[in-house]
Amino acid sequence: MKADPQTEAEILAVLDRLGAQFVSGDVDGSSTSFFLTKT
Amino acid sequence: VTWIATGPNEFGVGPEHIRRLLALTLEGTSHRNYTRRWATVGTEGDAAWASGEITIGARAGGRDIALPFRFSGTFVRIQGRWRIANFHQSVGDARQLGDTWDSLMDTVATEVRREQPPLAQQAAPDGMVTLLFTDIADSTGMAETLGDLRWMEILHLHNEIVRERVGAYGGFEVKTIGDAFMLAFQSARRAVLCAIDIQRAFSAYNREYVDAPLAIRVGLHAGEPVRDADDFYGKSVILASRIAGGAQAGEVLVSSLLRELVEAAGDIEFGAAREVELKGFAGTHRLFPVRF
Repeated sequence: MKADPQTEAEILAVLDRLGAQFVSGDVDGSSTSFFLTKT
Repeated sequence: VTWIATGPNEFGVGPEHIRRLLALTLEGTSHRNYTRRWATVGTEGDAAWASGEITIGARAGGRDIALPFRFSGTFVRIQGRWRIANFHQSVGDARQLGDTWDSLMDTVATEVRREQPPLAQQAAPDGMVTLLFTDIADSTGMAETLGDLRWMEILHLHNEIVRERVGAYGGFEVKTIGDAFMLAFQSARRAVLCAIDIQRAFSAYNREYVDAPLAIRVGLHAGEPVRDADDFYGKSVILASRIAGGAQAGEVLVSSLLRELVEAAGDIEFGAAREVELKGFAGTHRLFPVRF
């Protein structure tokens, strides 16, 4: 089911925070799991 | 927290590991930035997922680079806050990864095997059972040459190699006796395939550990032994053990009964029969080496 606008905004905020952590190299590691793989 | 990246040894658990790998991954770049190009988000109750594409931009070697990643992620809402359960980024162009992929996957496969719930049966099979015995040829000499501590290390490696295969082929570890394994399988064919895989694994091991090569003898026989708790007793057990003792180093040797059970499938080949005397048994027994 497509997310409502508020949920979508919340999820995208989490995503963008992760992205910011990724490029800064500052990952707290408390709630994330990364899988960087070949497609 | 688990991080799987794209280079050898770039697999690890915990924030410290992630920080170290990020430092390595991003080393030599500056002015890094993140851009979300597009994303689709869906929800179902307190679960959500998203997929899309992002670009990691950086300045390296005096020029700007932009690495496009596709991603998918799952999220859960805990106490009103969305948290990431899993996040996957993939590089669209496989050439960016080169041959580091194979070593990475070896690492991942090993870790997955280590962490997954054991595939081995949790109880010994009933009724008709294929029994597989392994033992290390000249283990006493090896122990003496290597010394006790090094020998124990090698023995642990040996045990790990065997146990990985037993789990993969749905076998049951009945017990270890010194450096010997007693294994049981419901399927005769899978038991033989497991034996072949064990020998191949030790061939690979020997290429790596040239200072402490291991020669393994493997013997198999099928029967309906007496079961007591998770152990087996009876003539068929002793016979399987003797067959292993009669195998040459690096060989998989089976009884004629076992050969008959598995040959119909057509994917296992056998060498010429050998008439072998087995300690404690009258006459000779016709045994067959497996070709692999």
